[in-house]
Order: sequence, then C-alpha cells, then structure tokens
Amino acid sequence: MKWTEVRAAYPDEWLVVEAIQFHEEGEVFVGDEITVVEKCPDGAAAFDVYRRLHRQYPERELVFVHTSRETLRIEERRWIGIRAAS
Amino acid sequence: MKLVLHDSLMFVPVSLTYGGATLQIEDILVDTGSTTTLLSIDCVTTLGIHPEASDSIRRIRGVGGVEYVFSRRMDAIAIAGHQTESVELEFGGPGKPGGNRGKPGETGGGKPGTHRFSRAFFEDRRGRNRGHIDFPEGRNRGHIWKPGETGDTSIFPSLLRGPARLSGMPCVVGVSRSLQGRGGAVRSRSVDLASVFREFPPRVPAN
Repeated sequence: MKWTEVRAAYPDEWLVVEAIQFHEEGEVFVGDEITVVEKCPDGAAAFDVYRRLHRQYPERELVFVHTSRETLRIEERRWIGIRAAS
Repeated sequence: MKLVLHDSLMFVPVSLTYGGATLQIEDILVDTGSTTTLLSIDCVTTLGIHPEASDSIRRIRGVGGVEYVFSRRMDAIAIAGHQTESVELEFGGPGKPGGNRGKPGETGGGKPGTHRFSRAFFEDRRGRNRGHIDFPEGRNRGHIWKPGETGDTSIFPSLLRGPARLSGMPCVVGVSRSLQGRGGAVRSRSVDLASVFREFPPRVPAN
C-alpha cells in the first residue's frame, strides 16, 4: 500500500508498519510501499511492538508511526559508534 | 562537574524535568562524539514519556543497523547543577524493557563497570569505508587500541559537516563489548583512517 492508502484505511491510528520499498533523498528516508504489521491502541503500545519486532527482525524496515503524518518521510541521521543492546 | 569513570567510560548523573516532574538518573554515559542525546525510553517511564502523534520520528543509521527513535522537548535538563531549559532529546528502545538506563549519545545498557570491549568499529562519514578490529581476550580490551590515534571525539560534529576525504580523515571508533551488538558501550575517538586501513584492512567491503 502507499502511505496515503494506509492513512485512508487506518485513520488516526498508531501502527507498526514495514516499508517494503523505500528510497532515500539525501538525509530523508521515504517509504514508498508500506505493509501494516500491527494496529496499536496508543504510541506506547506501538513502540513496544516495534521494539519487540525490531529485535526479532533487525533487517526489516519496521517503523512505529501515527497515521496523522501526511507523508512517510523521516529525517535520517548517521550514527557512528555502537548502538544499544537489542 | 563530577564525572565517574568506569572502564574508561564517563558517567554522570542527570536530572530531567518534564511535565512538572523531575527525574534523577544516576548513570548516564557521556559520549563526546555524539551529535544528539538519546535516552532509553525505559528510564523515563515515570515521566510518562511515550510516542505521541506530534513527535518527530528519526531514523538512525549506523554500523549496527537501523533504529527508529522519537524526539521530545524536555522542560529542563540539569547536570551537576548546570541547568538548560527547553532541550530536545531523543528516545529509543535500547536495552531491555524495564531494565537498562538511558545514555546520552545513544548507548546501550548494562551497569557501569560491566563493559567488556571486544571489537572496535570504524567508518568514514559516508559509511563507504568501514571495518572493525577485534581486541584480544582480556578485561578492558579497548585500552589496547592505538593505531592512528590523534585525539578525542570533539572533532565529531565537524567530521559530519566536513568534506569526505579518506586519506588522513579522522574517523570515529566505537567499541562494543560484544560481537553481536549486544553491548552498548560507546567509546569514541578520532583516528587517522588511512593509517587504520593500512594496519587493519576493512573486513566489511565498501558499498
């Protein structure tokens, strides 16, 4: 689904989604083709689901997101160093 | 300001104020190479900080992979009596739920003094040239890492903005305590990348 379709299907919802196709524009991540993984009651629940799935499938492009966002354009930042335990 | 040193890592107590409540976190890791401050969401649950629809989400891409975090403006942050108001911090999911502390500069969990360094990562600012160095067995293995050291991580912000020159360009090395990314310790310093590559050819091929 496109993000606009996700928003239409899940208005005003917290979701964990997976970007099946995406591209980067400079330092902005842009999700092109999206799959809804789970609908969550609130942001805390979405973050918990994201964290659990991210640990399990670190290679998948999972995002916790609210459908009030008009686009799935996400600022990207490079991190040099070691990330946390997962 | 009193910094507590554990295994060559600096820790400091931090006081966060948000929504009228104040939370004291005792062991925040100081990473002088960080451009932003990221805390584990687990250490701020008592402040009621969770993702909200209006929060910015950021995608952090590093040697260890990709992670999404959200940012929120705190009322104030205070370290050793020095207070700054209206500070934006990032919150993410490092560590185990309900367990580990947050760490400025994005680091992982574990208690001070429990870090075991086993591998150093390095890469240039575009991530095109990177690799790692394994330390031999032994406690505090990070101490033995020497090649190309030129200083500390205070150059890091300029590194991000500056031109990408491989030869002689400083890079930042992070040291983890496990080979599988389970560790969270960050130990960064500037080095001469060319000399590192001469001595330790990157094991990870350039993209």
